[in-house]
Amino acid sequence: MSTLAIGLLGIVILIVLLFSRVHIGVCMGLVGFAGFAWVVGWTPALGILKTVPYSTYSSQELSVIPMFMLMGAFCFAAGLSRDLYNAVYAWVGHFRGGLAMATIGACAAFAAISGSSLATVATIGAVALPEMKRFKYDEGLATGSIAAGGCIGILIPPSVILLIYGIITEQSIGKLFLAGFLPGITEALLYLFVIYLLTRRNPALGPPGPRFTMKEKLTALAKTWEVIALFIMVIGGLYLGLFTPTEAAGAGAAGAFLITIYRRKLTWESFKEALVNTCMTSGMLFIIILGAIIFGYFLSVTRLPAELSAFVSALDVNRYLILLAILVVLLLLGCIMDSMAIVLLTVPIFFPMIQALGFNAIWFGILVTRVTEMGLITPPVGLNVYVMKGMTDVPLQTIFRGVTPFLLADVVHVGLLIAFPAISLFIPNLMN
Amino acid sequence: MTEATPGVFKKVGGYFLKATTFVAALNLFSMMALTALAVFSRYFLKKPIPGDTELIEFMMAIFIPLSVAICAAKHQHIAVELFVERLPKKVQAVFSIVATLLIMVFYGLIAWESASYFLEESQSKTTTAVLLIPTYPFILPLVIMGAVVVVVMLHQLIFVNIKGILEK
Repeated sequence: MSTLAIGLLGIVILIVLLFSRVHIGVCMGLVGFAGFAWVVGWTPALGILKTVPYSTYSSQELSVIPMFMLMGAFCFAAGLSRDLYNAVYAWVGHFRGGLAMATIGACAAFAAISGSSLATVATIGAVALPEMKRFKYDEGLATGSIAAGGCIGILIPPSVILLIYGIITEQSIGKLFLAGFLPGITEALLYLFVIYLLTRRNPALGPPGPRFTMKEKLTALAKTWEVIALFIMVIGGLYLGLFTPTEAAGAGAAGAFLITIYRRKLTWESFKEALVNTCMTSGMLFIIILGAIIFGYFLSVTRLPAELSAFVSALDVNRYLILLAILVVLLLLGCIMDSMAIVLLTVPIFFPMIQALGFNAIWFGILVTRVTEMGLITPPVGLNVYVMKGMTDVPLQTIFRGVTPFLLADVVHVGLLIAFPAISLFIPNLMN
Repeated sequence: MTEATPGVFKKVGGYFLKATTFVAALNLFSMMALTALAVFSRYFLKKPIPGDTELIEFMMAIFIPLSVAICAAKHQHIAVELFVERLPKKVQAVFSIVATLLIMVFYGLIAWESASYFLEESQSKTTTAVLLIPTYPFILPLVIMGAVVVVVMLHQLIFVNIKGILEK
């Protein structure tokens, strides 16, 4: 059997195992190990299991991931989400659908200090949902706006998915972070537009909240200074080249820790919870990273990604059609798999194709992140929807109905990102 | 741990999990503090901390494998359940047994190979370049990780998978 055929067989076995309840990281690691042993031999394959786990888990470069997650966990403990929500609420709460708009705004702002969508949904949901219930918001709009708003967390820097993409494709993490900024903002604007349209058509969906005085608005805004300072320190430091991504993450996490102390929110319980939750999420993630690295060794000896990219670039088809096909595959995977696992699994295969087709690597990273995040609100898995379900007694189908208009906005947004690469590349190009 | 787990295992497992979580969390916090301190020291005191990267690498080498083990003990690792959960209960049980066995094989191999790597490195006396710290002790958390997950999966196999089939 040719090595190429072994590579394809490996992918088929991987897909079968993925749907057989085997942990995702273990699937990739086992198939990668067995495939590598088949192509190269058992001794080198065992050699991979001997050295790669240690080199991966002791990587200083990868320490950026848990530290950014820790920053988000401390921000959660500091109760910054409530102040963020209150600030946006004070400014837009009196509009029709204003509370849902405030939710989107608060999600975008919280995303700037947290790299995780699920954390954003859980944090903002806990604050926004009772308010929207109080003002008799439609359950679909209330839960849908929180679940969809959480998606923004994955795009606005710092983003764990962009970090992973940057590490596996060897792209500048600073540039990727900056590239995610405008797409995150435009995504939030599109969501606001969706709420505006929905409540304009049916005002009962989102009755207006109380109007605040200018003094109250400014006071509410002033209370968010810590968030603004933290964001400027982390992203500004990266932009100006003062920090490496690891240093930015460490300084950001330490900054968030100090904010928690300053706000007198640091209790032994909240401290323990932030650390333990970060340990758990890191454990979950790093076994997938290890599996993906071992699987990557197998893929490279089969030359599958290289052959695929040569085949695709020789096709007499518009390159945007190929890009579209890749995005559809990512979207479908996003419906059933975790977004980090998708990136780790598919990017090593698709990235050489994208380079062969002459697309920009940073722009593709934003597209990958944007499309996989849509999986967070699409049935049947839609993790954000399940997090939302865990916080309320609203039926699952009502939440899915609520996110549908936002999903349509997502499709429009992906179209805009493809049609206007400058949305992603304008800020990173300034970095040059 | 499940209802069916014998009391002594529950107790020992509980203590072990607490200790592991403490060590992992301590390393995570130290890693954050050291990184921030290194930045502060470089910019404000104009004095870089020698060997900070090496120390962070060692903290990672302890924190990550232990976190993977904690995650396995709490059954938090991600798997796709979507298709299997639509199958009849008996078929699901077979899938669970196969999945558990495959997970045991993977972690067992890592534990075995890491143990052999640990022995090799302890003989070669490899040290870091700046602080001259021997690297081999930091391979041990990987051995612990592999062993813990194998034990957790063995427990899952006996007290959940097989017992479940027998009770049905």
